[in-house]
Amino acid sequence: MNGKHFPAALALGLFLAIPLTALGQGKVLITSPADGATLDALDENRLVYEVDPGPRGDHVHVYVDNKEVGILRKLKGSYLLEAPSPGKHGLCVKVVNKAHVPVGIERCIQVTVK
Amino acid sequence: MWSENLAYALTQVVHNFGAAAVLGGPVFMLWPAFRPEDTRSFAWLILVAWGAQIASGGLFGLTSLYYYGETPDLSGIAIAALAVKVAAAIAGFLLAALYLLRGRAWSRVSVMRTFWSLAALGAVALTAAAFLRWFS
Repeated sequence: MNGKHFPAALALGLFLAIPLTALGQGKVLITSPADGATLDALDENRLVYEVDPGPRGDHVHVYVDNKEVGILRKLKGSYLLEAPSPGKHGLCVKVVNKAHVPVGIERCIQVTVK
Repeated sequence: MWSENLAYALTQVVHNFGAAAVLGGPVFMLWPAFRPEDTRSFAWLILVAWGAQIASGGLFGLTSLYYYGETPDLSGIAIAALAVKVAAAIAGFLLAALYLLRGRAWSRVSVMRTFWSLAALGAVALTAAAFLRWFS
């Protein structure tokens, strides 16, 4: 490769590499409830999620108000929120590694229970 | 990523061999027949093994801290299992050390009880480890 083509090749390489890098990072989606939703305490409220654990993740932990309440080994599914008390609550799904350490891939939402 | 996995794996190697020795050591002393002539050398092995368990257990936490800035996220049963495991490790280490310091004067029955206790502590720690692994 001569020097004239090097910047173009580098740009193409970066263009191709960035999406691949982004895909490799993993992500968490909480499809239900929606962020800011109001839940009825008498309903069966389920947190529906979908996770790409990325290269460092293994499984996920669920948190209600920063307290771990569940361990989910399926990367796509739902978790029953047991009898949430009335008021505002924070729900989080965090990807953790095999040692149960959060790897920084997470999604948190706020809900109000009435 | 590779170095992180290597760090966890090497720590796990020490932890696994330590686990084998803290239970296998005292069981081998007692079964199929008590071996009074070997008790001190096996007590050293068990002492070192419990030390390795404590050190490698701490190293798991330090590895997580180094790579992620936090320790494993545990709750409920996992926390209780960890507490049991730590208590068993400390008790096993101290009991093995006590035997090495004072055991020459102990009766045969007392020495056998010591190794039965060490075996029980090993079994408790290994059982707690399973709960720690799968309830966190």
